[in-house]
Amino acid sequence: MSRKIELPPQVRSELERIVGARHISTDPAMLSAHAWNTGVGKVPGAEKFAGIWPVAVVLPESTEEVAAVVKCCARHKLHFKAHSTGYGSMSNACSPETVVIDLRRMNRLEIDAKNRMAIIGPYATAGALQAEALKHGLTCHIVGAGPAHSPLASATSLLGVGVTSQGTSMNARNLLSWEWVTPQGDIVRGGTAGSGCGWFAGEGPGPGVRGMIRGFCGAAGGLGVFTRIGYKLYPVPVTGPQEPTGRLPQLGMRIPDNAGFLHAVWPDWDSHRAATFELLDENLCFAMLRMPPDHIGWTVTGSNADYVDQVKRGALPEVAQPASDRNWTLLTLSRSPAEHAWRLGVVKEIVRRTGGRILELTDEHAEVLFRNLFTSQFVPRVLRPSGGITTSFGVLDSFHFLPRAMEAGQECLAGENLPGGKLVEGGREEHWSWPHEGRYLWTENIINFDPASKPARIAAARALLDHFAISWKNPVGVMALGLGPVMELQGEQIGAPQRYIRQVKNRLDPGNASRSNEYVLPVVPKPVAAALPMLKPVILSRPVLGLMSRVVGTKGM
Amino acid sequence: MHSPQTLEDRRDFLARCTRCSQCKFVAAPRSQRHASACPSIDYGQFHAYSGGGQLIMAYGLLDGAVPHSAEMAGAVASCTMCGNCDVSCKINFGETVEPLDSLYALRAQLVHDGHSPAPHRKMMERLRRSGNSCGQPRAERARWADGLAFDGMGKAEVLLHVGSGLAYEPAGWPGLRGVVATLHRSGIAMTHLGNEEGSSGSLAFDLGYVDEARMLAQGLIEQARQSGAGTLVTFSAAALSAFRSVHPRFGLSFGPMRVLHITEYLWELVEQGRLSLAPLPDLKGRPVAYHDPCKLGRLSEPRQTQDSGLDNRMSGILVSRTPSALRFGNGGCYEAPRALLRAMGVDLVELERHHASSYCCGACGGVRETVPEAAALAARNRLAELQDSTASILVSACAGCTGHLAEHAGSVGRAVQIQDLLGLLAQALRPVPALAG
Repeated sequence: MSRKIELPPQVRSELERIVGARHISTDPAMLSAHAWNTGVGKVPGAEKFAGIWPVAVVLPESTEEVAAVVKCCARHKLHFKAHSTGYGSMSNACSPETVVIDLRRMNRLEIDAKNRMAIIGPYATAGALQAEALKHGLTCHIVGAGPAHSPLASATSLLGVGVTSQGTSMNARNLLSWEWVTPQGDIVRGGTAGSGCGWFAGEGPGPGVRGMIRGFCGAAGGLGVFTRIGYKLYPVPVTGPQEPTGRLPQLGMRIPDNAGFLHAVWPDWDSHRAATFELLDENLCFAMLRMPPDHIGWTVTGSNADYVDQVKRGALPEVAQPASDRNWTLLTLSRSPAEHAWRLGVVKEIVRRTGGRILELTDEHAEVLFRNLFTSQFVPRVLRPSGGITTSFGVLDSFHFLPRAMEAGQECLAGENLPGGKLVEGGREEHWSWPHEGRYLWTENIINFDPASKPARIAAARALLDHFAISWKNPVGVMALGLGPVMELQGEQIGAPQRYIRQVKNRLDPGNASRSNEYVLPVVPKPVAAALPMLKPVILSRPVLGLMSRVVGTKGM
Repeated sequence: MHSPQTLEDRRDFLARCTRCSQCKFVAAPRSQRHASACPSIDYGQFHAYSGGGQLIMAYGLLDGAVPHSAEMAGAVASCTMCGNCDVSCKINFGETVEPLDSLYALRAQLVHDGHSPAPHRKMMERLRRSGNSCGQPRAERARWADGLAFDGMGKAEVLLHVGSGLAYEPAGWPGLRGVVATLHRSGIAMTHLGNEEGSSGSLAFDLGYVDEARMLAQGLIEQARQSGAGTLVTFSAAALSAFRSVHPRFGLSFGPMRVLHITEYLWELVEQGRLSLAPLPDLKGRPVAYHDPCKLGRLSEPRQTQDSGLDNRMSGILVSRTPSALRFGNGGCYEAPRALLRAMGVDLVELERHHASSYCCGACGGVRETVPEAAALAARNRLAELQDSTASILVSACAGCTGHLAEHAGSVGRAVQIQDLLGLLAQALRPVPALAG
């Protein structure tokens, strides 16, 4: 643990007056959950607890209480970090002077069905929001963290992408209006909420505050606290919470009337790509997801033991066989039998014409796969085999790059996920790919490793770093892992946004009280900024990558 | 000798918590209002009160990063040990985290380290002194049976186990006595353990007193063996849970003796044609909801005496060494109570959280006695779920749940009625006369 800061009694008293004595703690038992280094999406070190623990955790109940806490922190030169459901360690404290503002008590959820949106607080979860939205024939975008995550956190503060992006966009665009406590503790409302016109619309033409405060990657807690948002919902021909089918843990969902749920495979990536363009051109699908077959195998089996057993016996269904890797899971949603017949007919025709074929799914597998897709439960389950994943990205570019992305994925895994390697055994690559609003490619190569094994952590770190190296030499779209200090290295490639983001950060939070390791560095000395591009070849050299992998695998990142 | 896993044994399981928060929510929520899986965090609000939060806290305790404190003891004591976090966690993590086993180990560690919450210590003192945690006199344990005829030891086919909750709850006796009388009229030879009926060890195990739980379990098993009965029928949901999922942790069992909950036994007799159920006019046309008690539901899923270890296969996939023993909450006693209710002509409706995802009423795990405000909040939350359903009558097959929910029924808006299943059965059960030969 880092040096432990004691919260001065008078500060504690002030905070108690704001949130109530019952809703503040400085006890390590209560703080431990805010210093847990799970390394979800990153590579953890050997230590389970982070080096930095917060000085206190508080549980405000209202925006006014949040603002008062922030102002109290400012008065006493403390830092603060907002925290909603808190998947992984992203919302951990970044300095020992940090007060964690746990927003659990702020779970407001209101559906504005007429305007196809929800007004939600930080602790309204995606699962709860989807259940409420479905009562009105609407659904929401759910990011990879799954049903237990906070859509507000995702929409305001991080990338916000999920596997149904074809039909539900991404959260940088689903954020309509917001209520925000600035790093100085002012309460600001933006979008139509700022004009007293309700919460239904974002900004008009011209430079947008939304872009400034969250941009593409989000400030990851580095720019104040978001306390309420207007969040876009999407119509679906499904009404009412859906009673699950199957038995725990293999819950499924009945495929709705006028919905098509298909799994198609192609003989090679070129024909897969050709089909992709046609499917997108016709705007046929609500969701399109390409998963590596082994991950489909994890999903259609209820436990790791079941999965390994079926692998060894060759009993996995064809969708989960390695040869089915050039695939799309396709979901069509229609409002009438005639529309359904048209969509399904055209999909099947495109698959046939491009040399693909549709695989048979049992009802049980179809329902389990459908539910996991529709609720985004898929993604948290990816941690089941080993408990450790990291991921590399190639995003926001044309599907022309898909075959290249697959090659790059294979290249950075370097055979370590083949039998005898240090990563969890899987396919040639481990890409999850999907389109975003009919246009862009989003693809993530999932690196699955045993976090309890140092060689595995080092191999995972190397695979991740190699992806940077490969992508910098021969880009496959934009690399979305440009968070925190990484932004400094890759930013030049995409117009050096870190320079502008830094100005936003320093103008709005000159004291860096709203501290985050995943946001832009507030200060980068000019000589360092000038030297970084020149250092890139050194950083990309094999000895340096090897050394960095060992450091990351030991200390974590 | 078999022993439950210690916190040290659970170290790797603790380390695998990714803090995904799934443990706080049911696997398939139907609404935001009733999406929670965890009465403990609903009360305490800090993450440390959740299943995952306790795992992290426990790891800190092992690691030396988190010292014992009143706040830790408070969080631990607010947990009803209901196991809903375990069911939800397994949706994502299968066999690799299994929170509930670690929660048991954490409580045992607190006892070992001398930090068991004071109310828990008092409950255990009473349990040692008088065989029940309420401190009721041993000599009154079998008062419920006054005036009822039983068969002697060695002559009975069925041994009735009542449990302390019902044995000392006169309000439940009419139902109990009514059911026993009907069984007697059906010609079933029964006996019971009288004032000497021992504890199943359920509460001691929940509170972390592992050695005492083992001794209590051994004592009761010995008593049961001496009865000579072939079937043990318990009226206690907590005892059934102990028999099926706690005793195997000690390598203990009743041997060839069949062990059934009273609802399972009665439904078996109905199916055999030895008993019938008459429709209850009071309930006709009125939707009735059934509350799955944690102890009777997911916590009664049979556990095998098993190796709980995981092997590393395929370079990192963690695989149970005894996959046949994996439990996901499906194997609890869910259908017998429902079948009995339907057979009474009841229009049965499901609450939003039911079967393995049922929300705990707050009565178990020592919470009712230790943190009553947490137990009250859980009851109010459960009753709110009833109010949001089409039913206004809630039936439970656990005396603890029924009593606790009834105690708080007046504090919620719309009038609700809490009904013990045993009481309904006492009214509806009829012996079926043997066919004249």
